[in-house]
Formats: sequence, structure tokens, C-alpha cells
Amino acid sequence: MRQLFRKKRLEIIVEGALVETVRALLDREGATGYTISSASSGRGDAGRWQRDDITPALGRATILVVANEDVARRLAEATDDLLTDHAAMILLSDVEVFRDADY
Amino acid sequence: MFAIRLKGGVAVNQQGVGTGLVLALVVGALLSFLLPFLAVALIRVLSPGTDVATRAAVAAHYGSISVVTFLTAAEFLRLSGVPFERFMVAVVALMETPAIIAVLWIARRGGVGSNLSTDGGLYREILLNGSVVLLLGAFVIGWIVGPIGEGDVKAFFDAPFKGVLTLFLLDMGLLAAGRIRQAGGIPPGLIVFGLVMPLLSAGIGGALGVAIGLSTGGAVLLAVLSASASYIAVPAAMRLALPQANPGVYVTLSLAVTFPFNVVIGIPLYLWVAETLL
Repeated sequence: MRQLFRKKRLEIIVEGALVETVRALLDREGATGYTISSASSGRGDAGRWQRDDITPALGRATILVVANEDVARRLAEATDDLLTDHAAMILLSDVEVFRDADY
Repeated sequence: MFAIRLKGGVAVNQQGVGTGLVLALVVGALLSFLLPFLAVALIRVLSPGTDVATRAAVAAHYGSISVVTFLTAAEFLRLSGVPFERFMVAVVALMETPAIIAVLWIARRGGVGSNLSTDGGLYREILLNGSVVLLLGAFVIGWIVGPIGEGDVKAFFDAPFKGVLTLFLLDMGLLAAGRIRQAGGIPPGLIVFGLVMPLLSAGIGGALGVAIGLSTGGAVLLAVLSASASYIAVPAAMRLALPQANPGVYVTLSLAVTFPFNVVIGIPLYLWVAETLL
């Protein structure tokens, strides 16, 4: 059995208009990597939304980061501070990875 | 969109930067900056229950412009045999952003906004968003290359223009229809605003167009630009700057009420009024 290493998975779901702002924050705060995917559709406080709406700014995107716990926490807290006035989902969970050095 | 901007640039290349162009640019930018103040006042009267943030965000959309509405109007004038100043396309890009700046000021006075309002990203979004860069870029390219360069790319940009515009309008129609379902949740006063505001703006824009010496076609285009409401660039800026405002209201009003109104009734009406009065 190969060894697994414990990491934190940080998921940030934000409006399309905020993606670049959050990306800049992650770069500033030292994230070594992340993956951004455009979400398809959903519903929240502002009602239903979908990706093919008139402007990408009104869609949603998921930003996925896997990092050591201290880094992931720092990124999560900085993101939460940045988005004080905006709707966002910031989720932290435990994951296990094969390649310890990658994160 | 690229095609018509390219033509505008080519026109400036041939005719040079005249007083007419400079005046149209100044008046266009002023209209974009000042129309939100009229919009805010009108919403106060027609729908007093609207919250400050949504009122400001709606106002930003009506100060800014819709490029598709402009293109439709330009094509309508061409088909009606009404000439207009080709440089009017330069005014389009300049009318996109002053409204946002005005509304940020209105919102700050009203005590609403986001901690990101002062973020550099907001101003990058306002001044350098994809559509502004593409459209200004097309204009500058047309200006530099002139008619000879235009001839080289004419087959690609010019010939398919009508077909692409038709498909684009159909797609916009589908998006607008999808949004109409949400219009039920909008207060009737705001729906009335979405129909009255373009008429007032068109009147002001058209009158100023005549005052600065534009042709009938040019004045109609300035009226259309004043009457049209943004639904691409401004929503992005408003989500950054005014998260408290309800996008279900401002995008729906702009896209499902004012856009079809201008395309179906407004454009022919503005031309009819201009031809009757001038």
C-alpha cells in the first residue's frame, strides 16, 4: 500500500465577476496552485443562475486549492476577509494525496 | 461589432479628427455621466420602495449603452437610406464607462457599496474589460490601416455582418425571453421606468445631437445610445461594486424590458420623430 498524506482542500465558490480578484489574492498569499472551473447552474439568495446567461460575471466559478493545513487556513481566512460584502461559499475539508511534495 | 468599429476607424483615417467627432465624444461622455442622475430621480418617483443599491445599479445600466442596440440602429438607418456620421461608433466606447463612475459616487453618498469598490480590479473591469478593449482596438486598427487595410479583411468582417447580427439578435431574444419570466418579481413602477427612461434619454440625446450639428442619422444614433441600457459590461462592474443591489432587477429590466423596447419600437420611433421635426 502506498503512503497517503493528509492535506486540506479549500473550495471557494464565487460569482464570475470576483474570480480575478480572488485569484490575485491567492497569488499574493502564496498558493502554489489552484484550479478554477466554471459552474453550470444553481440557485442562491439572488435566485437561479446559469453559465450561459448574458454575462459571465453573473455565473459562478469554483476555485479549488489543496494545501497544507496552515496555508489552506490562511488562504480561507484571507478570502473570507476579502469577500466581506459579497456572497461566497468557502469550504475547508480533509483530503489525502499521494504526492506530498506537490502541495 | 468589430466590423462596424473598423469602419468607424477607417472613416476617421479618411476624414481626420474634426470638430464634429470631438463634440460628439464630449457630449456622449457627458450624457453617460449625467443620465444616471436622471434615472435615480425617476426611480424615486416611479418606484419609491426600491433600495438605494438597486436604484444606483439600475441607473448605471441606463447611463451606459448597449452595443447591439446601436448596431441594430445603424443597420436600420442604412436600410432606410438615412446617412449618419461614421465616427459615431467612436462615441459608443466612450459612453460605456462614465455612468459607472457616476454611480459609484452616487452609491458612496448613499452609504452603500463593497469593500472592493476601491480595489484596482474594479477599475480594470470598468476601463479595460474585454468588450471595451476589443471595440477600441478595432477602431484604432481601422484608423491606422485605412481603406486599403479594410479592403484586405472586408470579406471576413463585412459580408457576414447582416447574417451574424441576425443570429446575435435571435440569441439575445432567447436570453431576453428567459429573463422575462423573472420580470414578474419586479415592481410595476420599475417596469414603467424601463419604458419611460429610454424615451426621456432619447429625447435629451437626440436634442443634444442636433444642437452640436450632427446629421439626422447621427442625432438618431446619439438618441439610441442614450436610450439603450447596458447588460454586459455594467452588470460585471455592479457585482463588484454594489453586491447589495439585486441583479434579478437590473439585468432583467435592461435585457428583457428596455432592449426589446428599443429594438422593436424605440429605434423606428426615434427616427420618425427626428425626420418629422428636422
